[in-house]
Amino acid sequence: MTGPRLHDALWSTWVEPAPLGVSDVLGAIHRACGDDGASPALLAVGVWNVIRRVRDVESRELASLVERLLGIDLADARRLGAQRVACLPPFPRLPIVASRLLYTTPHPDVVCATFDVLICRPLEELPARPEDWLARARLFWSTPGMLGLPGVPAPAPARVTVDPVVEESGLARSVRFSIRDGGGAVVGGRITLAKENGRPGTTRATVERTVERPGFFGAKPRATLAYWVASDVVGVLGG
Amino acid sequence: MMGHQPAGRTPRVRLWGVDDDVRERAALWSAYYHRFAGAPRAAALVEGRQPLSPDAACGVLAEMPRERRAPIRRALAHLVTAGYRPGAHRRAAFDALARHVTDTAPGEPRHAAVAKLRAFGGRSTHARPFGSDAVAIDGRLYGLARGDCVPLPTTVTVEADGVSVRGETLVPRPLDAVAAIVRPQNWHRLGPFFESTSLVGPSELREVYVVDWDLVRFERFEVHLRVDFTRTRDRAHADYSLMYDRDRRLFVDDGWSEAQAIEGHPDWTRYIGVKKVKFAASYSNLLAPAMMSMFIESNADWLLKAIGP
Repeated sequence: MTGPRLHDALWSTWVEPAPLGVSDVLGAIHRACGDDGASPALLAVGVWNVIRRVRDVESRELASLVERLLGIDLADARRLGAQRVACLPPFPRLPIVASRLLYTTPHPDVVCATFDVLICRPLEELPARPEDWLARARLFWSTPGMLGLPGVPAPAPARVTVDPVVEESGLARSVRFSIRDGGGAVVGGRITLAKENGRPGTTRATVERTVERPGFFGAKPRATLAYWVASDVVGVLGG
Repeated sequence: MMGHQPAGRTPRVRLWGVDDDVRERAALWSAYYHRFAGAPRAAALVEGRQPLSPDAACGVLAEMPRERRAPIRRALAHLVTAGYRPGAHRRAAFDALARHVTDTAPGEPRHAAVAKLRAFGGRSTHARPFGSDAVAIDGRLYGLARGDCVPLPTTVTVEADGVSVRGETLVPRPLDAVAAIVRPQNWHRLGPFFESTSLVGPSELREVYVVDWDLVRFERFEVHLRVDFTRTRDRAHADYSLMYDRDRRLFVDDGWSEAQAIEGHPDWTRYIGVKKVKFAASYSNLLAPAMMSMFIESNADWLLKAIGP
């Protein structure tokens, strides 16, 4: 295979300025389309980011990817993307209907991202255990116990352990976890799944992650964190 | 819908032989109508939906069984807050009713009962007990009258996709007792507006409810709702949303109700009801805040009767 890794290409669509050119990104996504291991939903997010950030790109490859992955034509995708209602694309075959991404920086060295998304599936059917998330987020956890972060150049993967704390009731499930390596806590977070009031069979997922060690996420911690959280939400909850 | 009244004229209908549920529904609706909309303007706007006059509504309330204290008090409070003053022919019945529902002793001046009703309609009574009992919950003292529920302020929100109403009531019963009423198939026990509620699938409820605009004209809604009930250690929660209504008169009908245990008060439960509606007809949307408040508050009024002793 030539060209950038898919992981780096998708990550690049979250970074400003983008380290990879549009043609490199689209090429990587196009090559991954035939790969059984690549989630079409994650590829769709990459294409969606390209459409929203680069308005003047006209290419047959982009139009083809939009139709294949988003199920709509390029003009409609551009119009929806310009509305900036949700940070995820309108998935034709996934139960994700609304999404919102918020950042906070409680401390100059700490970055926190909160992803809020509405899933049209009952709470009881959704995975909440961190092990389920690790198993499904294969781009980041391609090697068990090794967190593989994207970037140019890519940092060395960190070996981590997960310490979950689970709180559960019939109306909500919440998992707090911390990811640690030999130097201590790297990332903390919480996944909360709760029944949505007034919408039977619908669940609101709030995924919070905080990068607690300065520099661990490289020079673009916000973008990397957003990419990671969004990829997890799409890959785990949308599947 | 039966019969039509010329617009702009408040009907003065008095029928004998009308059953108690119809009379109660009509009196309640009329009181809310006068409180929210006001007779002169709305009667001209809403053809076929004119309520009983305030005086006729008061007459119906005076004839209702006296043990129906909560709905009588609420409706009477709305009439008084809307500016109703009984004429000479109704004054004795009104005074007796007002004293009864506000626990005003015969020795107290007659205007004391009206003042309590006006305060109740203005939702400022929660910290001012007018009964013989009181309880402190969440740091506030709530007045009780003979073990009644304690209604908290109802909130009406007008949104782009409908009118949303939220009502909250403190119920002097343990959670287990109130939880049964939160189950969707038991909602028909929550007052005269429900004709029936029955599960027709594991998560589908058929609900029929009726609004009596006065003692002659009525409207019946048959809706199918998707429902979900959850019981936890300290809560009972039900969500619902519209699947379809038989006559296609509703765009939105969703909401939730919840019974919550109150820490430190095992004999008390917090009951919350939230409902959002958007009708197909614009005049129904005009009346939606009054209608939805009536439903939510009526449900709360009926809690103790629905739960039983």
